[in-house]
Amino acid sequence: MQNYYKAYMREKQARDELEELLEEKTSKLYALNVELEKKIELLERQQVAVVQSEKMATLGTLSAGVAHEINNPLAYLTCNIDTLAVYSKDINEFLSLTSNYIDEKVSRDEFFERFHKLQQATDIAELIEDLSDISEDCKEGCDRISLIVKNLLDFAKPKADSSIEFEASEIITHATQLLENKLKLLQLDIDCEKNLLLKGSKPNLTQVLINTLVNAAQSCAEARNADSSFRGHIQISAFKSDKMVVIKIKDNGTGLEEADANRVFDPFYTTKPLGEGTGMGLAVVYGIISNHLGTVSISNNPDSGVTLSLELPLAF
Amino acid sequence: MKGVIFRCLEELVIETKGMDLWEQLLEQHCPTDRVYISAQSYPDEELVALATSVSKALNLNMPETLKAFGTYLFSFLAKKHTSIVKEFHSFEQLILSIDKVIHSEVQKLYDEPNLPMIDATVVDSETIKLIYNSPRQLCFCAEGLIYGCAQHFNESVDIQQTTCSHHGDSMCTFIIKHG
Repeated sequence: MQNYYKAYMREKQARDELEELLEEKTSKLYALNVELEKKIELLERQQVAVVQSEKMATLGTLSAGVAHEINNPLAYLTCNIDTLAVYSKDINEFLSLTSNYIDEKVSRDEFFERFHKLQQATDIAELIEDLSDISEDCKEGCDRISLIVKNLLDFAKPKADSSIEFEASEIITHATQLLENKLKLLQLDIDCEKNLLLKGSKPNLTQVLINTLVNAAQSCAEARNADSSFRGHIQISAFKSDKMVVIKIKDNGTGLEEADANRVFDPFYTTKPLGEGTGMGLAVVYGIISNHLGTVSISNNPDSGVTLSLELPLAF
Repeated sequence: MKGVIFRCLEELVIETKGMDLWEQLLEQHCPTDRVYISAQSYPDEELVALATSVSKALNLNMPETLKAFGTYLFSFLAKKHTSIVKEFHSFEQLILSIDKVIHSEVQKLYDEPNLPMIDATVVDSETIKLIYNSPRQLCFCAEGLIYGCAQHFNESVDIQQTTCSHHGDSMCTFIIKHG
């Protein structure tokens, strides 16, 4: 019996030692896991920073076009305000004469005489019609500028609660509006099914489309530089496939070299001349789409140009 | 329930009543060839069945058995985890750190330990109010652990249980006088 007890105690000792070893390893594993979680968090923060800095770079690319887009309405707003200043002088004269007549500071005859003179100098009916046109134009110009600024802010400013549900058509519209100036020399066709609900960061997915469209537009511009009769064409189509939303952006530009096709999603890889492009455009596209549990692929079209396909989970 | 608790019961029974009784209890209540390993989880019913039989063998009622077991459990765990216990310099410091320090250390070592909720607050320099809340309703064992902790720090304690889940209260409250 004594021997059995000793044997038990030895077995117990072995269990104790093994458990101690296990606990030691578990503690180390826990510490490493905490370290790993911190690194993942850091990586996620850096990813956000990369997306944000790429956005800023895109804003830089867009700035000339956006400035032009703002300049157009601004030009006719300035012109209209100048006209309003002239009209304001005329209206003041009419109002002041009428006021003086009501206050009996001028006689009836004098009032009509001066009124006729003013009428000869300024056509009242035309003035009234013009005022209405000017105010409509000003309103339209302000709305255009306000939409451009809103689009820019929506795109550039990170939102606190960034995961929302929205329709695929919203980001397509948003991206094409921001790129209006860059795309105006191209034929742009959009064919987007209704009720394609996506869930995620709307500004980031807009960024995906902007980066892709900028590439497509540049590819078309290169083709046009080589052949002046070339007519650039970009087709955006969005449709449902099983439980996924597929967005395809097809251009008829210069296309990709076979060697580049495998590397376009690599960070800092660029086919553009030195000093042009950050080399992060499609890397950011890849990162954003992966974060939304989607996939992205690119391939040359049989005729010319490339098609970039995005597949994102449909939100229910 | 984690195997470490069963291992403590095993040690207590063998030390006080011998290997035969432990073997009998295992045969009576557990699957064949049961060996307890600290990090592994085992059915709660097994512990309850073993503890019930131990209380009969010791001629104690269940609350007294659990209290005695809790007292022993503290020294058992303190012996196994000396580095954690060394962090505390007084009875009060340890009791106040159960939830934040001790339970977080347990969570690092064991997967899904299903720990009870413990909330300890200082009432005055000699009194601590401790709330115990667990679906396992092992408040007697918790009381024993407090006694074991007091023994470890050479303090005398007087524990009054003012509410108890066994009597229909939502949780158990202990008023601990120490010094």
